[in-house]
Amino acid sequence: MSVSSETRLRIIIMMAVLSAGTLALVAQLLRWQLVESQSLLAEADRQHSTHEPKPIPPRRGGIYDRDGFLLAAEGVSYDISAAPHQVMDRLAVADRLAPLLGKSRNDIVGLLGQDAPWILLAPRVSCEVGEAVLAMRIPGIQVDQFPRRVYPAGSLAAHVLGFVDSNNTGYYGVEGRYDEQLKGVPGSQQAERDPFKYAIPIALTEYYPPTNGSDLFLTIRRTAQFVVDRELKQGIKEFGAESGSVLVLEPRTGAILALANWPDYDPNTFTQTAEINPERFTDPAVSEQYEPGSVFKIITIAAGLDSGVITPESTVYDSGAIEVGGLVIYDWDQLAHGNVDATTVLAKSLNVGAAQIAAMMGPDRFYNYVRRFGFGTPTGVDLASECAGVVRTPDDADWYESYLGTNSFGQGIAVTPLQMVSAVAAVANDGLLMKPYIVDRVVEDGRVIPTKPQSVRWAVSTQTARTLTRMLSTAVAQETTLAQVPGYLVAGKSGTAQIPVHGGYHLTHTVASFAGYLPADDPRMVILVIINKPAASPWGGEVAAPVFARIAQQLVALFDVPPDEVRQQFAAQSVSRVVQ
Amino acid sequence: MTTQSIRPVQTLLRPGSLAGRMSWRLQSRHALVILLILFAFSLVGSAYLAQANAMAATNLQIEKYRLDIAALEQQNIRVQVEIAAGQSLERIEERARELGFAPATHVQYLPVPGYPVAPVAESASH
Repeated sequence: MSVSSETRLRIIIMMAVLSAGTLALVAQLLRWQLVESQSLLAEADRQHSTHEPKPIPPRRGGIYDRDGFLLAAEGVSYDISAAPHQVMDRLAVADRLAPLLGKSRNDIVGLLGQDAPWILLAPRVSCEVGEAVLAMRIPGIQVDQFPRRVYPAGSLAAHVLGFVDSNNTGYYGVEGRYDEQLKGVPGSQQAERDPFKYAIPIALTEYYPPTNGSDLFLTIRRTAQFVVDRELKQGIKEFGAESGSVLVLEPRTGAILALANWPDYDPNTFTQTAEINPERFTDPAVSEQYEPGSVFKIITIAAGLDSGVITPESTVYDSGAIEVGGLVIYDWDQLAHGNVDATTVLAKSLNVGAAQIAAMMGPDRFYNYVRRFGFGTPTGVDLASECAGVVRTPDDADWYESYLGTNSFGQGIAVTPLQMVSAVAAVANDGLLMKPYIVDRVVEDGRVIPTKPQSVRWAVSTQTARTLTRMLSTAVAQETTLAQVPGYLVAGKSGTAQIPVHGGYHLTHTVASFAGYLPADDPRMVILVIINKPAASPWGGEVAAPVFARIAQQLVALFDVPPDEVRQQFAAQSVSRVVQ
Repeated sequence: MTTQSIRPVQTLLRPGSLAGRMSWRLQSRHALVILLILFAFSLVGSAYLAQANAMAATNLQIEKYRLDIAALEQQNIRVQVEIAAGQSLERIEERARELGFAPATHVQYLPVPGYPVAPVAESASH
């Protein structure tokens, strides 16, 4: 068959057009692949990748008591909001939501009737309420989830724990002090995304998992904390007091076994407390100072014994008054007691005797011991906002010689309850001052990091401490009988301190306190009870001492501390077995 | 080319002639090769698509598992909180009183002769 020239021409033209088109296509491909490849890749990357990595929030670490009981955990709360224009039947929706949100039907109808693109119906509702609203699937109603700190034990150990705000930031207590460890480290996810912003499953993804916060196990036991809490509240109510604090320390280690204050608050509802009484967040045991009164005589007598100025049998003459630095100091009963030994000075709480002993030591030695017992500096406890107290020494411009007299019986000097109980614990621990601590162990990524007890310094010698313990036991047995615990030898000292006001001291209000430890020959716990402004009686021996006794009697059972006779029997059996 | 020379070629190219059959075989062999190449490409393409699909499905599954893990952890914590609230000491005390329990006021220790006793822990001061 012959191909006509016209057909041949058409074929040639067609081939030329196709070739030109193909060439153009290839040229364009070459331009994209070779010439403009870098800029096009960058543009594609910009379009497909997220502008910023999407953060993945970590879980905040939990807080447990020493035995693993949960005290704080990260729960969930919800914000319930609405797009009013998308809500079809406002009345029906209000009927369904009102009982769940705790608002009146009319309130909800009013909110839904607003001319706004979005309104908040109820912020931070509980998990149960949020999930119930979510399950309803009401068009126009939005449910957003947020982390929320939950404290299952309510106000138990509130000051120890602190609280966490809506930004996951901890304040006060352990939440504030260990905020960084509890928070954890956020993770991130960066992925290529399609035009609808969904991650492309087969595209490159960078995923960094979050590091959840560490879990903290405290030194406190919730059972001991519960007992202390209850007895403190009972004591405050019984004696008509304004407030109070109780601290329990393990003298050998410095571990805080219980720390209670009243008034307290519930960390679950800290926002309400913030509106009414924000000062309640402050932990008085750690962050506030007070004049300890005669409990401080423990320090004075310890200093006198350790410096060799006095012995337990040394006597001083108590004429009922003494002048130190131009200030006349009287005994609490305004009586003269004649020649009294150091044990009697403690037992009868004689200010004149204490002032004499301090004067015999001289200011340098006296304040040296005050510092050795840790006063005037923070203890270093792992709780937020610790206060250092105020101790004026001869090096200070505003120190007066009269302070030597008043400080000897705990007036004119400001300490924190934690400093006071730590100092008494040093006497109970054979003279060795331990650093108090509240976190027993940290669990980080499954790894347990225990806290090692830290000794600070020898405040006094072991001999001094044991001698003083005998004297304090005698003082309790002879005078502060309300602090006695059946079956146990208690060593301790009561205190009744006047409260400073502008220009002097209050005429009637006092801080009644008692610091003691038991068993005296092998102390397992040191307890400090402080009752502020008791109305029934101003005296520590009558107000704080019985609270101490009630607490101690329950704690020895909780901590399995047998009575002295039983312990000594066990000890004798052990010795006899060794001998055999 | 003369009419005379074209005719033998035309004769040769006529279907049924040896040359025609050879030309047809040549063209069909070309077509076969092209088809085989296309088939190979499509095979590779299918394998790639299958793998991409599997990767996408796996990635989606991984993402789903991550969300499931997070949800389960949250649920776990919620259960722990419920347990802790249920074990609160106020509740236990209240329930104990309802059941007729009373606070223990006297603890009696009974020494058992010869019972093994743990050694007393040394204090830091020794």
